[in-house]
Amino acid sequence: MGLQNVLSIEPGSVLWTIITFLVVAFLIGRFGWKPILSGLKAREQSIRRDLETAKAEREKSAVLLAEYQGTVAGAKKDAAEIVQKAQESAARIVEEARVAGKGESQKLIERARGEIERESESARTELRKYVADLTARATSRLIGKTVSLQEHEKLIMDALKEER
Amino acid sequence: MPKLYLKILLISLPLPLVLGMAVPALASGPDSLQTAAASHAESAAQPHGGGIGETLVEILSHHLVDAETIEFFGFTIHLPTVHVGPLRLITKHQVWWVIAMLLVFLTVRLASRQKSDVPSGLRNAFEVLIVFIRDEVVGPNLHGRTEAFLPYFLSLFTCILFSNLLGLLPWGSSATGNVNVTAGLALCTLGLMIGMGIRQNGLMGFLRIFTPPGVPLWLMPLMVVVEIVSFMIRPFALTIRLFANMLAGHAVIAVLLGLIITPVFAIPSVAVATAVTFLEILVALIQSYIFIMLTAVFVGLTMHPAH
Repeated sequence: MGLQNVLSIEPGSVLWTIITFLVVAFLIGRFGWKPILSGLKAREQSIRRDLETAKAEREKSAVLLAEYQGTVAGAKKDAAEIVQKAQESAARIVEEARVAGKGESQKLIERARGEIERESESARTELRKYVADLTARATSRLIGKTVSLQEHEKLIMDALKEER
Repeated sequence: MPKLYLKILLISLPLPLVLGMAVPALASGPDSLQTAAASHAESAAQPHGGGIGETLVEILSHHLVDAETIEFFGFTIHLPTVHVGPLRLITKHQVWWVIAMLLVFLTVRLASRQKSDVPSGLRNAFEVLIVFIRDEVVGPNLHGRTEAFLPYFLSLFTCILFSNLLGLLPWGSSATGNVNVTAGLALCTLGLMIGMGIRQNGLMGFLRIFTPPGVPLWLMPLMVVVEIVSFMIRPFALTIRLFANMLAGHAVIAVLLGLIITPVFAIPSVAVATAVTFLEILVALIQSYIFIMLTAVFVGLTMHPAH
């Protein structure tokens, strides 16, 4: 049993190796590798699908984002326009109100002034009428009697007192 | 980095013990060696006789040559070896080969039991191996048939690897250090080369690879011979490469330990033997990879001879 025996050919060992290896390789493949491989494949597929879905979603969201950005920009513009318009109309209303208010007050003042004038006129007329009436009445009394100056004066005063 | 050295030192500390037990004969001297060797060998006596050199050869052959016994924890187990005509069945290496494959089966089965979507531990390690072999070894060579062949290549790789590594364990033995075992594996490759070549290209298409195009007609007979030799030498190279690498590793370790003729020699010898053992782990991986890589390349070449 020398060292040269490491190179001795043993057909038994060769056959043994081939047969046992093929049998065990089949068994390992059937009960060992197959479940691992199918799990691996399923996971690879699910990852690939997830990636594809994510990509599609990303594209979709990019489109949506652009859309929303457009909408927001439009809305902003609209809002600015609305504010502008509102400001303009507010200014116009204020101006109109101012103008209208000015005219109204002028009219009021004028009306008041006219009224005052009319009132004072009528008051004056009435006073004049009253004085004339009073004078007439006092005169008629004076004419009906002959009185002294003191009496006269007293009479006027009485008349005035009476008439008051 | 100092941490790494410390780890290597810690790992290597028990090695002298282990290896010392594996070759107890060395410690007890030439006399006991003679008797130990005599129990295994009929023609132990060499022309020179009696020296350290001879006993080392005995130890080497005892460790490297196939036997009908298995040694374990100092016990010698006699195998029920049977002789069927020229065939000798159930020998040491045959049994270790089956042990390696059973370990592979159990390990892979264990890994395949994990049912999580996120793999971890053993299953993760196997998936890394699977993806590597699929994408780097089988895929580029077998193209469309990758999925069908993947389990075969995975089994081939793991069985060779486990068998290589078993030789590094105390009392363990590498079946792949036996030329007959590697020849069996290489014959499987040869069968695959021929079978897939015929299946892919038909019998005539397969035979056409022995007549390369563009060769003058008068040169053809020579070329056919050359092509046939080059075809047959591929599995032969596979056989020798794996067997010789495994054998050499074990031989180097045994020789290094054989240098211990006095206890002082033990320190450098064990240090270098430890380093070689680490190298052997690397070689075990590399040789398994090379075996399946070349198998894939050879099968791919017969399937797609145009490349």
